[in-house]
Amino acid sequence: MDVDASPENGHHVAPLAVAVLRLPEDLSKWVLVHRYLKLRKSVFIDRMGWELHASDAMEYEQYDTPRAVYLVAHRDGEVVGGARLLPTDHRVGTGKIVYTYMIRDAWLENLPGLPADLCEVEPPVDPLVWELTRLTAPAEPGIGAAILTAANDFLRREGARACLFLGPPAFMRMARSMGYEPKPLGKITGNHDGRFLAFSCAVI
Amino acid sequence: MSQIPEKPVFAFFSADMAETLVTYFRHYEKNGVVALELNRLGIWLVNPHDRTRQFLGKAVHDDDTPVIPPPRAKWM
Repeated sequence: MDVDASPENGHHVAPLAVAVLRLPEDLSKWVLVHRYLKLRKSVFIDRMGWELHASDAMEYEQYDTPRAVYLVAHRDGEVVGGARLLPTDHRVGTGKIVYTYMIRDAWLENLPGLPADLCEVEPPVDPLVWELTRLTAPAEPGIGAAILTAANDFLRREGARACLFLGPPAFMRMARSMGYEPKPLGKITGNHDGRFLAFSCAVI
Repeated sequence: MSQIPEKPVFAFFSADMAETLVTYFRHYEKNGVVALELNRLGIWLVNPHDRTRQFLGKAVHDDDTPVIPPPRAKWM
């Protein structure tokens, strides 16, 4: 699904659209996810120096599973931002290595780089609650907001009731400025990459 | 063309990983064959059209198998 998110279309700039892509029905449009994974590598590894896995010029990790839904912001196919959604009942593995979703795995102390006290209570396992991560919108202002709007629209269609986020305090302020009512899940914490917190927003 | 290493390489699958592979096989096959990538994070389905990867999972056989932790997670 493509949502035209451009408030004003310039003469020389293609309108901004946010594609919502999931497997298997959107496999034919997966080139946008390919470009989004390349953008992640460019932003998180090349520009920010984060020690993440990359191959074939793409950054990808254990949460890029077939159940992930991608929000890819693009202008006529040129990807300018994106994010990833996972339902919080997501689970990969049955043995001693089990991944769920980022906030819960941090709380379960399965992610060495993230503090376990992100949340005061156990993060949910609920098909109606999703998690949004890997938000990137480096090129221009307004793209992050367009992605969040597309995420909210998608989640409402899915019947979801809330979405969890992990980001800097400014991220929560942006959500509040857009009319959401974010609720912190725990205190502001951080590591050498900066300060961040987990918060929840009701789908509106 | 895939390379055959001199030393044997073992891929460990749990039942849910095998079920996911079967579920998505027809979407990832090319000429009836699916490509998998094995790296320190686990096993990945490789999209034959654009080489994007989707995580299948990571399983270990017993307690003696070394577990390599995933890379440091980030908030974004």
